[in-house]
Amino acid sequence: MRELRGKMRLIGTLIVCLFIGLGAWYGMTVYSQGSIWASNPYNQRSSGSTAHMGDISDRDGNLLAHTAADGTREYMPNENVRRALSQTVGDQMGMSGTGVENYYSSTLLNISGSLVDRLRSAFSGAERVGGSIQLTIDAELTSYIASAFPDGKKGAVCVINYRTGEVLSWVSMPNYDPVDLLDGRADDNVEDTAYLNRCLQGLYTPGSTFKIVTLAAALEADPNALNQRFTCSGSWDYEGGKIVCAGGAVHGELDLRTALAESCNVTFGKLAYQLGAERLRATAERFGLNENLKFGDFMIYNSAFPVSARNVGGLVWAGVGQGEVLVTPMHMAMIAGSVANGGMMMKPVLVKRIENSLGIATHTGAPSLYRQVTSASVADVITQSMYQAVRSGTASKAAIPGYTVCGKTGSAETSDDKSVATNAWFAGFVADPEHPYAVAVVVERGGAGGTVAAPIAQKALKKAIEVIG
Amino acid sequence: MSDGLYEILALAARYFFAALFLLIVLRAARITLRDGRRAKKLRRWAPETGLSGELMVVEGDERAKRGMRYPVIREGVLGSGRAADVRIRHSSVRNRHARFELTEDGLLVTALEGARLLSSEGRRARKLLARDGDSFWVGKVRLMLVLIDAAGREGEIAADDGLFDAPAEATMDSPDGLFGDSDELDEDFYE
Amino acid sequence: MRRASVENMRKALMRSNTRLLLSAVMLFQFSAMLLIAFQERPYDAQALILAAAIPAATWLVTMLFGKIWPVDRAIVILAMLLCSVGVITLSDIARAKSTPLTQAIYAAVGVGAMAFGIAFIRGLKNWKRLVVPGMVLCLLALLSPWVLGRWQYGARNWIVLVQDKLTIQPSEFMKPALILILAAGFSGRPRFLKCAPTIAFAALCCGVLLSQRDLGALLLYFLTTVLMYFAATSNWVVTLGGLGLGGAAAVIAYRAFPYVQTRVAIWKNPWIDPLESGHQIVQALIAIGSGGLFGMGLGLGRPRNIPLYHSDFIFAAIAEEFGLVLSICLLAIYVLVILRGMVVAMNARTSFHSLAAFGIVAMLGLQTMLIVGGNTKLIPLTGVTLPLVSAGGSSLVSTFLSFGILLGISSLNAEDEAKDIERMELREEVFS
Repeated sequence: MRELRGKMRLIGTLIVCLFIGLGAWYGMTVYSQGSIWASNPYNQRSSGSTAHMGDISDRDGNLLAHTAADGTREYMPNENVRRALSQTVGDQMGMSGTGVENYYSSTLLNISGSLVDRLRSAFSGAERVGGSIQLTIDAELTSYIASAFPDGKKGAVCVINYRTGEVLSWVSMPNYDPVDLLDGRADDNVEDTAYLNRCLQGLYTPGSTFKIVTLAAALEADPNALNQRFTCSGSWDYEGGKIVCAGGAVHGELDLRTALAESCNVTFGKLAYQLGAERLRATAERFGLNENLKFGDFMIYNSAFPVSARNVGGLVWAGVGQGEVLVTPMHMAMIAGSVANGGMMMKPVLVKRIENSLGIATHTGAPSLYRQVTSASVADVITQSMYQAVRSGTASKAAIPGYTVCGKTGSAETSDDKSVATNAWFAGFVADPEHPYAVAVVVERGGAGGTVAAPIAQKALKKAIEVIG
Repeated sequence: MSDGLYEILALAARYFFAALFLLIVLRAARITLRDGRRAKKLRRWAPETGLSGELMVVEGDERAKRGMRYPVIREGVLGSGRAADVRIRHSSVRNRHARFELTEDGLLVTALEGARLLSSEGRRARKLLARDGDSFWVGKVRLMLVLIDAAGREGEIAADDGLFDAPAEATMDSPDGLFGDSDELDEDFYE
Repeated sequence: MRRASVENMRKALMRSNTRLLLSAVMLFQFSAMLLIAFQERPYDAQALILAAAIPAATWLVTMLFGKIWPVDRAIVILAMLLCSVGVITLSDIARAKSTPLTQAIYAAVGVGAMAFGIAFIRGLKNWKRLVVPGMVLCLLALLSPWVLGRWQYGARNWIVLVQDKLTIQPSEFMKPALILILAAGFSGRPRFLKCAPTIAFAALCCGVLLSQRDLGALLLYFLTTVLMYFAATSNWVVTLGGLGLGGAAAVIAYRAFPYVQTRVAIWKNPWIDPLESGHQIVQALIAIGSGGLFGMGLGLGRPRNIPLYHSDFIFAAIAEEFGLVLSICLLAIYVLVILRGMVVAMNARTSFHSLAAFGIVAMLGLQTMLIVGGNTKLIPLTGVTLPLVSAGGSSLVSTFLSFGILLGISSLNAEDEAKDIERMELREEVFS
């Protein structure tokens, strides 16, 4: 019996320890992740409340959403403007989960669950009015970009201020009209995926825009790489395959800067090969790939860089942003912005200011550093290369006279079928501390980045300089 | 009740429920600890509970001398090892020598893995049934069984003469309070 | 000195005062149901009745059971508390009023089953003889859904007695039977060969459950068998071998059965498919997150958003309405029940009773860990329910039955302790 008791004591202790472990894990997870879970777009707890929903305004104070005295929700009067802002502002039915009306519904409706607030409003008899949120978004810029986007194409454009991290514009096509959702019924005429905010939720193959990261990795591994000369004969064989430059181009002898400016696949393929999977992945992860991009104001879907290099081909093509690499447009804008900002990636900020119903500011968005993704000197070299791309390389259509525009184009292949057009990409910025704007553009099945995406970016940056200053 | 009032009540009630539940958990934990301490005390005074009898050494030497008595519980292992319930420290007795079990007819002893077990007549047996007064050999030690109850009958429901109620002043059956335990039972009595 | 030592022993046996515990539990039950009664306008009659009935029933059961048999009162109180948390939560969140009412009725049946369990184990003398008939009965009962039942929720382990009203899950009822059979088969530390029939029986049960796709019960049966075998025989080799076999079987199941693969994939990242396959766990996590420390308040949350909120995910619903603090306390209550149950197992006089109590406690603990782990995305969902709390007649009644057996063993322990004291007295008189 003693042995029996001994064994039972052993197992009993084990079970109790497991329980305690379970309880501790549960407690800690809920404590740390609970609010993140609760702000998931699929949380419907806040819809259908009796409080008066607060206002949403843009950085200039234009009312993007407002509740009238009779309780109806009103948006911008111009339909095109409404549609451009639709995924950012959100709607009454929560179809756009990332929209402010859904993501911040507890603030807008003042559902704090605070007993004290409830008591106060009960005693004062005032109807609970929600807080107001002022966004960093610029409505004029957003509607302009939306109208400049090619008709009938899907894609996204993000414009940010790379010194403060403020989000200036999100455009996701196709879009919808939030007014249609006011009667509580989902509209059947809306295009598929219109409710998606492609800036945050669209994971695309980055194509050549990823060469920014590859270049950073190469420069970090060997600062002397600048002095190296590479030879591009139009194609390069590696074990198990070969990589070719786009359009059959042959670049001849070139240095790294020119390789980026001309977007030479052969050179970057070789770079990736030389770097090896470990180092390239380490740099990519420092830039934020493979990471949970959960910020205070919103959440971006995770960008991915393949973790294990199954074969040489995967590594080589990853170096030029093909294969299993995936990036969201917002993340790409942040990457471009970090290059412009001396290697410092700022935390993106969407909310400029939150005011409660009494007009007192309860939250003010402030710039803060997310991470130093690369050194200032490396960022500088990349900036020069991207400037060369705009001046004489593939991104020439993004040039704005009188301003230093730097950029990188991309034409990402998404299918083995050569008849399917590539996704047109552009990632770039204005290298001017007075106008610190970075932009990322992706046009699905748009064709070549230099011809389709770069002009859109040029218009976006030009308008940003014009309206924001 | 209006919606607003209910909301306020429910919000306030959250803290109340949490506090109550904490109280319940802490109280139950304290009770369990107390019971554990009491059980330890009990085991100190009466190390072999479940006593059904004794095995007395009739013939033996070394550390199992004649006249030594081992308390016998209802079921267990007989051997020289530390984990044995009846520990007979003799060189001829293995670590785990035999199993014993109290049945209606007496003590059933089963030899383990070919250990040496002889009946009172000296015959080698794998299993034997010892009644009150019977003796048998374990290894080179001869033991005699003395059972407290005549035949070790199980299943007698002891009259619970208030053994589990708190002690009243003088008698065993004091009137029980609303919650079963006598009002005299004081929290701090046993600390 | 003699007098004093026996007196001291009497004191040592004394069970702690459970008055305060009982009052706190009754207060909680009353106040919670009262608040729920006011959710409706003007008031909810059924909830008011329950507000009076539940504390009264708890008090009555504790007093009654404590008077008739010397059971461990604390376990009774905690069991009634858990059951009432279930009724309270269902009254709060269920769509139909009949759900908590049905649960309360099943609870009443369960209390009867508890009494039956106590009486049964106290009266059981010749357990070895009942092993074989028990096995046959058990297997027949497990196989009955193939004959009488039908597929539901992707598993076929239900028998329908009255269409849509009364369904029974035999695999639930067979849990206490399995434990008793295993305890009888493994008692006395037999060698591996002697254990073989018992193990074969357990394996057969598992096989039947596998064919019925009842993965949760299968996991529980398997782990309980392994634990009981190890406790009984201390045979590391066979135990580890058994665990290894189980692990291998799990891997094979993962490869072979698509629904297992889906479950594991959803567990790894449910956020990818929040509307279809990941829906359950995503809504559960959202609910738990919305609850915060103290919950959203009774009636203020939206636990109906969680699918299966009344059975598999009731823990998430409780976390949403009552909060983190209270749900961790709920876990602590289970731990305390397990601790007290282990004490009962340790104090038992025969290896059969000891193993039976141990098996009951182990199964309870495993089941709770599995369901709470599944609710919080620690492990994949397995389809077991929270004992005594989840809605479900069969589970409730059979858990009460197991508790009855445990309490019965505790009462036997108490009586044996009393006998020991008498004998100590006798011994001191005789031998001194």
